[in-house]
Amino acid sequence: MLLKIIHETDLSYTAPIDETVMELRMAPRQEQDQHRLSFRLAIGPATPVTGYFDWLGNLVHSFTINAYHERIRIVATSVVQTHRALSDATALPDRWPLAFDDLDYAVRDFLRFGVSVVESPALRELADSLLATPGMPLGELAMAMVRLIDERFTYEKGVTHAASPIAEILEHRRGVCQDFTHLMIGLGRTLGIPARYVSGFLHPEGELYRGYAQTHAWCELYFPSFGWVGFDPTNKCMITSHFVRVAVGREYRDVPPNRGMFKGDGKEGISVAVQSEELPGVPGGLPAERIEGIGIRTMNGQNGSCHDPGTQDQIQQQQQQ
Amino acid sequence: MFSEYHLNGIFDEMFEAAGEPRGHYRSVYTRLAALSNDAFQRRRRMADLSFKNQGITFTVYSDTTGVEKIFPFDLIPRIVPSNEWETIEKGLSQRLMALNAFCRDVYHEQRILREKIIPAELIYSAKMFRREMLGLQVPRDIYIHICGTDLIRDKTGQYLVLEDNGRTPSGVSYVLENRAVMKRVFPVLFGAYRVRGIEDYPHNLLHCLQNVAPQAREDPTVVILTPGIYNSAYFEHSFLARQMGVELVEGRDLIVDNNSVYMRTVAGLRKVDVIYRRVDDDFLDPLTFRPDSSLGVPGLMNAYRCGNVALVNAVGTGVADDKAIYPYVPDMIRFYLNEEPILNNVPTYICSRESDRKYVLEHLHELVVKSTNESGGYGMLMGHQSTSAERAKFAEMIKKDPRNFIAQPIVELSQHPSLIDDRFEGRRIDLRPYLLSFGDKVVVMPGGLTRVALRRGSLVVNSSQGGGSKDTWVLEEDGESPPLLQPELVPEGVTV
Repeated sequence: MLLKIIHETDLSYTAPIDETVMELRMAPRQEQDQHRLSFRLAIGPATPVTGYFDWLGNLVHSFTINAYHERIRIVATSVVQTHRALSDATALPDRWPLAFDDLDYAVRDFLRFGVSVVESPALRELADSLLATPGMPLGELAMAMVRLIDERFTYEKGVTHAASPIAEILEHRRGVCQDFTHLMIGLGRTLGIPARYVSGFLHPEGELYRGYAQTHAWCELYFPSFGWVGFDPTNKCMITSHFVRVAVGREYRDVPPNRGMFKGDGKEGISVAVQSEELPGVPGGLPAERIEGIGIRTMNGQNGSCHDPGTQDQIQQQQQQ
Repeated sequence: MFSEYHLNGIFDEMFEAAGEPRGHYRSVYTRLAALSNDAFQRRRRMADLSFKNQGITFTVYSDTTGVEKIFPFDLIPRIVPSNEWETIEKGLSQRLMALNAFCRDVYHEQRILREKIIPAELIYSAKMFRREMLGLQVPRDIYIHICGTDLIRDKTGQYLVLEDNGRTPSGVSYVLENRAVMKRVFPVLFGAYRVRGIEDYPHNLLHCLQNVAPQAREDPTVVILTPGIYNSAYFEHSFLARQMGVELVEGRDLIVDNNSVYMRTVAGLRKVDVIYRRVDDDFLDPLTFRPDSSLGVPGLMNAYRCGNVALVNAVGTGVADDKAIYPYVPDMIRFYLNEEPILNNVPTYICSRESDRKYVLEHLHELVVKSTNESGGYGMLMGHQSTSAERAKFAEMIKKDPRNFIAQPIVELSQHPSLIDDRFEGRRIDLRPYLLSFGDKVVVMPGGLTRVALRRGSLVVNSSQGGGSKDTWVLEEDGESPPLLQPELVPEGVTV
């Protein structure tokens, strides 16, 4: 599927801020079943941007703005070709449980619990209710997880936020795709299956799916015979060519689309919009990668000299819904 | 004053047998034995005053009575003959070369894990293993530029490595100050020995820092990044900055712009090339590590990754001084250097290994249990001095989180005479030499911080646990100490 995705992020402040430092994980990954044909990143106020790969192989763009500003606008436009080879995980030969010692240690790192994906009796109980039996095909177990989450949990915005640990969704039984994903990762790890978080986009195609108006998240489980296989607990399905992988990590904190700090006392607002469309063919003259400035004015501060920088604060991250 | 001195059945640094000083201690012994208590107390007051005037202090975190204390100074010097020192120097250099190779390896190829010399599980479960450092190129491949390795001596006098402090070892300022005070208080005795100088340390440290400056800048800007005045080692941070003639800064004094680090000065921004950071990894960059940290510099890791600034020590070196990884240092030496270790480790039980854990739980009363990521003598159980309630508490903690604990047999540290009230008594000591890595070579300061457990019978030398320190004299020569030609004088005009 050939997709064009426009991801807009607007941050606004009630009073001028300064010394913004930001990292973005917005560029789709280059992988065997997904090719990023073009990536354009426009940032305002205009500032130099550097790109690097983090330890998980995600492409990160970072920048600083050292002059007073009241808003930041980020527009990431990607053209991506996706072609998922696997449509049915139950057809894979892998069986539960996985032999821990046969797994590569780098893959075993995705068995470790973290800050959001926390081990707990409630999680263990939920995992037990899957009634996994030795010899069971791993793909069936994965689909059982997806169904279990769909049956027991309700999709609802506003109950959890970007930093919620899974204890919250386990208690309230309500959350968004980020929570569902963390929950499925937790189930996987509890059952000894390496599991990781994927942040990305979902092309809705006639509003077939939930979570399309913003960045989306889903879970990948490790199948030794194949590699990482994606499941979307929010939409109760395996991932298809409609899904575009942007960043992978142990949990949300490894992959937020934007993460930053600033100095100043202004209140912050964040608004995010994602639009996607299927293209009939590859347009001509696409830049492989281009960084552009957006004409947003900065105010005549002292540009990083000895003024009182105010208090340091975190820039809000977008919750993945 | 030596009349009631006991050897206590352990290795004594000064005495071979009761009343028989070792060759290199003879002059010190003669001099001390001849001094009256009054003369001695007078020197002690001189020394104390000197420390107080210079504000040489430290902080004990759990103590609510006051912020700063004087680090107790013990006037009797520890003497290390040159042949002993030669072994220490070689052994420590070898160790640091291996530790640096290890850091380089775990953050890049991971050969030592792939070849299963060290269990990968142990590395990936280390709190100080920084995944953010994977694949990140550091200047000249040096990770631990500055290391403070703790040495102890067992009953036979063999030097053993107790731990490698490869994060932000402190204490070197006391070494320099102790020496300055000793020269003033015992000028004749000091002059009689040929003691190797340590005064070039700040100079060497500055070179070590400049050595990793990006793009081989001719006159790189070096700063010391301190957490601030409430840090226990703040005195040292300001002392070293003064000695080297570099700026002492806090996180808020620095700013990252387009992946370079700048220091705010009255004359505007000035680019910073090398940061000797005395701030822990966790607090260094709130964007990458703890977001609530106000001690660090947002975006610093990006500047570091771009090669525009050097951090000393590198981020992630804590993986090399994790106490559960320490038992593998001899293997690292064999693996990376193809040499046999010159200095031995203390035997160590790793609680995350099932067989070790079983042994530890059954022998808590005769082991020292340590938390793998704590330092400064915090989070420790001294089995033989513990109550059964304390042992039960540790047993629970070990079972709950075995990865976080190791245990070692109790090593009977060597003792050295200390002036306690009006006479000499044996007190346990260790030695922390300071090493500087230049990549292809290691410079070891001749001497180091000899720490003293001033509480009778105590084996814990940490300053936070009531320890003191003494000057350490590394001699140019071996064997007999020189004859004393003139009586010791207290400089005139000093009223104490």
